[in-house]
Amino acid sequence: MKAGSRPSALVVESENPSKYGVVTLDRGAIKSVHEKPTEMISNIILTGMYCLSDSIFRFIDECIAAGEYGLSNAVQSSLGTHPLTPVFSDGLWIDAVYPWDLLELNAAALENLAVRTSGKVESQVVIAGPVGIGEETVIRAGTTIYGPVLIGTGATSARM
Amino acid sequence: MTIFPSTSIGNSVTIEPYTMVKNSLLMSNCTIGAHSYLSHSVLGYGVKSQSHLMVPGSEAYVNIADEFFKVPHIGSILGEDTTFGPVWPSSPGP
Repeated sequence: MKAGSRPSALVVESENPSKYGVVTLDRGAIKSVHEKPTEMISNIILTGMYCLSDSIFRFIDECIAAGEYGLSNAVQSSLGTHPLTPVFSDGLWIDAVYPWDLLELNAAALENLAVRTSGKVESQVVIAGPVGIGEETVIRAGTTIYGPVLIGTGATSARM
Repeated sequence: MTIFPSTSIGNSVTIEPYTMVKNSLLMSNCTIGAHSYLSHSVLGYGVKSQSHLMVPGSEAYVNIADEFFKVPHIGSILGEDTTFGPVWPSSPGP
């Protein structure tokens, strides 16, 4: 999605579409948006990333006046006059709704971790797998780290 | 100290001896005391614990706004600047 391209929305397929804004498609365009539907409509959901024209603000104002504050409501209202193109994500998309989602996100983010050791690693330290260590971090003797692990700057593992 | 995979540790974090951290996210300025065990946990900025903090991860049912969620593997979700005294066993869940 690039600025200046035609109005579009990043979408993905989901195993649990009822938690999200679900879209239906028709001839390469988004036909409708259904926020958290109770019935199975489609397994294609909005990711919350859009490339929209400034006309969306008029629909947002109308939705607010009607007591609806979700952006998907404004998007649904605009579909009749402003076509929206779905762009399927070819990358990893994980939603962070609940605190424990951070653990899954963290694990996914570390999968492509580049090894970078900028701190001080003492002798008698075992490091296996990809491990990133920030500047001024000290890894003391007796420490074992199994990557993927990312450690920031100025961190210390105390001496054993 | 042993750190297991899928762990991210922020800036200026101190982890003391004989502590194990596994599948967890530690924000900056945390201090984890000696002889502690943390699994599948998220520690907010500035969490401080003395020795023997025990947070095993396991399946848990979590109630948020009267809605129950079955979380297959979770330790603890600790808000920023939470402080623990010594010997603190924690049940799974936020």
